Amino acid sequence: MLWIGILLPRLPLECLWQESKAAAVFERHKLVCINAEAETAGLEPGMNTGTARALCPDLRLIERIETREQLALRQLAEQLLEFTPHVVMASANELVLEISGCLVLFKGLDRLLTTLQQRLQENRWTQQLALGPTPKAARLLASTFPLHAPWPAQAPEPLKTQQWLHKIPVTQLPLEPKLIHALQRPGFMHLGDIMALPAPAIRRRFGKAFTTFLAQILGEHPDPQTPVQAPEDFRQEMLFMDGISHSEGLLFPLQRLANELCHFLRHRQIGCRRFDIELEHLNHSHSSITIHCASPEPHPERYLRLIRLRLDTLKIESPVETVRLCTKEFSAPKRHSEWLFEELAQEGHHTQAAQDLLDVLRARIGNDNCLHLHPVNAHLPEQAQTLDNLVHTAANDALPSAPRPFWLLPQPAPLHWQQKKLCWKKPLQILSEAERICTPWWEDITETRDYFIARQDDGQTLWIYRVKAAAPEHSDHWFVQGIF
Amino acid sequence: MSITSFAELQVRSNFSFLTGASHPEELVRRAAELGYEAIALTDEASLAGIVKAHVAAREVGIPLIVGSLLRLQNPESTPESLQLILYAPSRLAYAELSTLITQGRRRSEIKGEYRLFLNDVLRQIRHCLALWLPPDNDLLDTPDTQQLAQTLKAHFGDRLWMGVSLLADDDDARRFHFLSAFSAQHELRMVACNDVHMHIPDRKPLQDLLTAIRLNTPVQQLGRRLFQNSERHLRPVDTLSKIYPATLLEESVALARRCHFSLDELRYEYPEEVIPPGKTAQQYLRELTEEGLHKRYPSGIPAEVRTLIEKELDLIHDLAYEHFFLTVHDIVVFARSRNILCQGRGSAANSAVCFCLGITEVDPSRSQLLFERFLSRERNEPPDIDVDFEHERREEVIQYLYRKYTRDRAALAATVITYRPRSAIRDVGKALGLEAGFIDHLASSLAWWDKPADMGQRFQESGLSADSPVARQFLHFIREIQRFPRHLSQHVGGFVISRGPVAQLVPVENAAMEERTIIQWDKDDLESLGLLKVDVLALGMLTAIRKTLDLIGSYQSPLRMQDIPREDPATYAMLSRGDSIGVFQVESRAQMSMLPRLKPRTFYDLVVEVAIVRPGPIQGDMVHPYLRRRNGEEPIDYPSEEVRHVLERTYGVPIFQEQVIKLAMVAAGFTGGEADQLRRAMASWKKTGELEKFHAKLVNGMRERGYALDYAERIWRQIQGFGEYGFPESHAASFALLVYVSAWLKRHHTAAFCCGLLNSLPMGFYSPSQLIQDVRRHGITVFPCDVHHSHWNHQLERTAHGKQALRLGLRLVSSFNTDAALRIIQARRHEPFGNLQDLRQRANLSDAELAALIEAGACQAISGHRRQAHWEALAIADTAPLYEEQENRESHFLSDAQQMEAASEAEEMLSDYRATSLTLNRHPMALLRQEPRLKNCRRASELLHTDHGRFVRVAGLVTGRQRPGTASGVLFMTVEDETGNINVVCWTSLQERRRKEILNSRIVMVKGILERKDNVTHLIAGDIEDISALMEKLAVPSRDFH
Repeated sequence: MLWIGILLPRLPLECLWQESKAAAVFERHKLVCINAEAETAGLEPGMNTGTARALCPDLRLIERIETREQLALRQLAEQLLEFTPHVVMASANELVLEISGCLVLFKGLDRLLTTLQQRLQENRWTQQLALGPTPKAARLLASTFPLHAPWPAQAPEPLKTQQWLHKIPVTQLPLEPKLIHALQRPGFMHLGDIMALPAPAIRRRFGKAFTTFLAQILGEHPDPQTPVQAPEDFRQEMLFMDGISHSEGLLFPLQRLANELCHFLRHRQIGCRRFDIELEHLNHSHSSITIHCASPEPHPERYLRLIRLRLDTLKIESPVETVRLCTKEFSAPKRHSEWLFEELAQEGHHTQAAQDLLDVLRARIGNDNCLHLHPVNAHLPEQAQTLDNLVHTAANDALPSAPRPFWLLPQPAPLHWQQKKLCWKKPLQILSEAERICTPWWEDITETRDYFIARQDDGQTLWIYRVKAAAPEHSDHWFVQGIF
Repeated sequence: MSITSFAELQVRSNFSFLTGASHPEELVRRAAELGYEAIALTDEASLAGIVKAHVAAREVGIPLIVGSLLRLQNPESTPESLQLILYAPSRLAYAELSTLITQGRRRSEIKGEYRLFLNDVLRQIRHCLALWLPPDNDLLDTPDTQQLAQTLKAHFGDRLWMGVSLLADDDDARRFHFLSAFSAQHELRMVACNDVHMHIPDRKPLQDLLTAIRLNTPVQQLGRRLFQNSERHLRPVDTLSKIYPATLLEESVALARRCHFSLDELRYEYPEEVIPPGKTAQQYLRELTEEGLHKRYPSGIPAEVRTLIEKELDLIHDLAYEHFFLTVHDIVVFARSRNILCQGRGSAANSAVCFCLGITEVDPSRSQLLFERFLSRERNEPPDIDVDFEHERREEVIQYLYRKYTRDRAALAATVITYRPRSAIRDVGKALGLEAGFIDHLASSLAWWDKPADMGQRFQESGLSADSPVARQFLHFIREIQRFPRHLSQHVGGFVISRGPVAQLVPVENAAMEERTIIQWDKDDLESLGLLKVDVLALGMLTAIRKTLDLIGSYQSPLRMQDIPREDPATYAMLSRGDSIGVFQVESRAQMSMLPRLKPRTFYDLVVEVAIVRPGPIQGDMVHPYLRRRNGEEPIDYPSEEVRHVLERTYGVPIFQEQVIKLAMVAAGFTGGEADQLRRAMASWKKTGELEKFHAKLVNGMRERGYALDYAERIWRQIQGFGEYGFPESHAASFALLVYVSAWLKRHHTAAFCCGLLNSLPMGFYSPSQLIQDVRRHGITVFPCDVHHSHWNHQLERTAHGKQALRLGLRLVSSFNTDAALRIIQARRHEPFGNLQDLRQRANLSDAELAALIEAGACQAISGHRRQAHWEALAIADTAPLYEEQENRESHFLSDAQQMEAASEAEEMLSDYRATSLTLNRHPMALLRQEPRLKNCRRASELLHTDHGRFVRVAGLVTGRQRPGTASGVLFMTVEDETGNINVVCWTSLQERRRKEILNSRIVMVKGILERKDNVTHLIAGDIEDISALMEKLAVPSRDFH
């Protein structure tokens, strides 16, 4: 058996941030993980965020998101299934791969390591690799004595491996802090100090679990591993803390994700006719693009061409935080293009006529052209409703008790005076008392509007407002904003 | 018809925390400006802001109505809560209201909230007027609301009104229509009220922001939870008369006119139990004073003391303060009976009467001429007596008060916690939706030495333009929200004790600490109303002195504080050398460098020493003139006899707050009342800026009396410099007494004093390590922690030569506990421990306890070095699976025959620091000296003999960093080596260059120029290098892995 240990020391940061500017991930005001730039500035993990800021004023501080780390590690593990079926998520930032079975396929250890490293670098992970006769040995060595190119053509001599293992500091062992502390007290500094002592003396003091741990490192005790299962669907994503605001900016991540999709398909020898690009925006909204492919063959360049075509017309309203590529529909070459009306009829969805109609309309004129009107919890009328193509249930408490028109003009239109009467096309008559609304100061607009209900001669009821003039010598401004 | 009068009846100040957006004073002043007939303050279930409103209302002459809004829970029907405002038309009604709020507050388990039900009101309120705030239109017509209106009407009768608020945020016409119909149906009088949250509409953004803070949601996401417009302010009567029918406004005035109650009517009623039956307070105080007089002066009462006593007793009687003195006396007697050391301070505490009553030890016969004593009739201040108790035993005194007066009649004063720069940044930043990391940065980059004024600069540094709208709003709010109250907390020890229930005087609520209650007023409120509090404070030095005296009693005849010989030259000589580590008040770096300059020779010098090293005198530029004049280097000038009288005792330089006040009176013609206002303005001028208005008055007053403009302006600058830091002589005198006592103990009972201090930690400036190094430098032997000898506390022992020595106690061992220590002491009584197993079994120690002892080196005597002891301990630990296998049972636990290698000296030293925070072995610097890089470094002791102006290199542990606000940007660093401490001065330019080294290093090497003046040595740093890594290298011999 030959194992490769892979440690991703900067996973907490790199799953969120990959730019070359000093950055650190923090948790409860302490730095958890920093990049090389931050290290140069004199920062260290465990440091207080305040101190870190003081030392490195440009530091980008990002709060830790452990779920992202898990997701990224799983994504990587799934990608590496193309090397060997024995990929194990050994800890929160470690993978181990059993490779004795695939050495022949890759034509030698050095070739395999080269390919593996290239694969990891595609994802831009900072990584440490090491070889070991057992999963634990490989992990320990990856964390303390990682290999560097030129890659060895042969697995290291057992004696050499043992020498390395003996030099592993006690503090590096993946054990409870309490146990590490107990090991340090009698003066054990390296794994070798402990291994030099008789096992019974160690077991008596540190317990059976610990001696088993030692035996597992040396392969003297079984250490069963649970390999990662190949996923049925393809679903991978990338995160951009600061968001991407231009569609060209999306090309790079999508290229990587499309590559991953091709790896995935080729590994399974399947094809795909359709995949979805899901975008999550900084303002928490979502959008998606569906790409259809005429041929199911995996083909990164073609995918990219299709993506580029769609991106050209894409307008990004709010910067994109997460780019996700996913598909569940694999290689179904015999499927025809679908006629929604026929399918609907066949599946007998008559009862949901309205919903169906909506779906059909969406399919026909495009989802972007099908809009809903929703009330929004805000005072300012132009912010108090929204037209969008998302279906959500409106919160009723968003509605004020004072009357509101359904129809708002895209922009409030100025009223004018004609023979001392307010006019909008025709003369108006004010029916109500003033309702006063202040505009949101945090958007740096401050005006006070007095709203009235007014009627035109033909019975048309309007919603108009007055803005008090800045100085008494000026006249007030009047606008119409809605139609009842 | 034009309406000209109106009274606002629904007003929240910022004492409805995070809801109201104006200070009570602002609301009251604005109402007066607008010509309101009256204004009510109706904070929710609170009277915390009422005194501030009252003071402002008295000033501007507008009637203030005391009221409170209550949300009553009404579980049986809808609406689930009903809102009622209760007003106090009379003293009786006020007591009802205050008691009701107390009940609601005390009932709530959550601090800062309250729970009241409609039934509470119906049962307890007989005299309050009530304003009912009806629910929304759609709830108005329900049977429950109808029923409720009937219930209220039946209970309150003609004392009930229905509030109508037209705020242009709904369909006002429709609302009014609904309410009119309802009022007609139930015969309720309608009155206009405006749900006021701010005094002017411009506070609307701040109100939104407070809402965001309260709801913990960024303001952008609050939507309709914010108010729709800014109408909830005090609107001009003209405007109101266009909105409301005249009758609704008239009704507000009618309600207001029924309220005659003013807070001025509150009279403090002293508890009666301090006076024995059949005696008057005057008689009893006289009796106790005479008794004390004879005790204090057994060989005859000095004539001047007798005169003083008569004068003081007259004054006390005139101002009716007898009960106050008797109450304090009673507390002090209790403390004495329990052998708890205590001492009074404050203006009244330094009276001859207090000396006779045993409240203070400052003897009037010996220092009478020096002090401006006691209260003065014309100064019009309330008497001030703070009593300090041993900090570890103050709780006993507090419990005594609760027992004696019951919890109903004794409660702590509140402290209003207000926004400070740091809390403002955090809350405002969050409310504006700024990113958490960025806020963190701003708040933490406001380091302990930064000024909030630098905020704009910080923004710039963080890449955010200071002109951007967010930055502008942020900075605006940070400033505006300063001083806004956030919540009530308990005062350090100010008790209000009354004859009847306190709750009838002021609402009482639960404090954060269990079993503690606080009143809703702070000390300024109490002072404004002329109510007295007794300050029961905690002082660590008293604990240390008492423990030291006890230790002394163990080797010689008992010594009491009053037995300590006065004016001992050896003690003053020690202080004059700056040898004052551990001595009360004068042990700080600044004080230590002042002592050799001031060279105290008498008690009064100590009084000055305590007061002079303060931001006030330093900023007011009083220190240098004082020193020069004292040393005869500068002539002493008195522009007049009056001024000479005030300033003579401090060589013509005002040092104490009392002198400044007195000066304003004699030289500028301030009346007693004005001088008192000046005193208050000084106490809070940074906050309110009210001091400025005295400038012209003082300067003109002095000019009119013939003083030079120059002199007048100088006095003014000194007053300004004093600011809130001015130190009263009356406090300095009491502190100086403790300075003297502790210095005397240090000088003559060095070991006992150090032991007493160590056993009273945490207190003072210095760590155990620093105290122990100091005592060793004074020739005292210190023995290590040892399971065979140590107690929990540190103890005195004798060396083989019979000299006094200190034995470290087990309290020094980290992660250890008193119980385990007691078990060890118990177990070793019969025979010493043979080995670890024996120790563990007989003292019943847990694994962790045993490991802690080993780590502290306390088991050295029974099991050799640390590593071996740990190895052995692990084998006998509970967690060791001894029972698991047979082989273990047979083999003896220690006979593994494995010998662990002993750790290096450096590692042992690091373990010492980790486990006990100090080492008795070689100092870390002594170990590092062998490093070639430190070859040219001088030791602290060598610096004493190095010439002024020489370039030197030193190295040591950084034990302190300090950047006093008074020393324009200078940072002082204390560096410790094996021979002593070195004061390093870092100028701003160096701080910019070596920020990281200065902030982060544990061990430094400093190059710089030595400066010496008046036996005070400083090193002016030219460069600083972080050499912490040297120590790690020393401790971990080999980490060469490849």
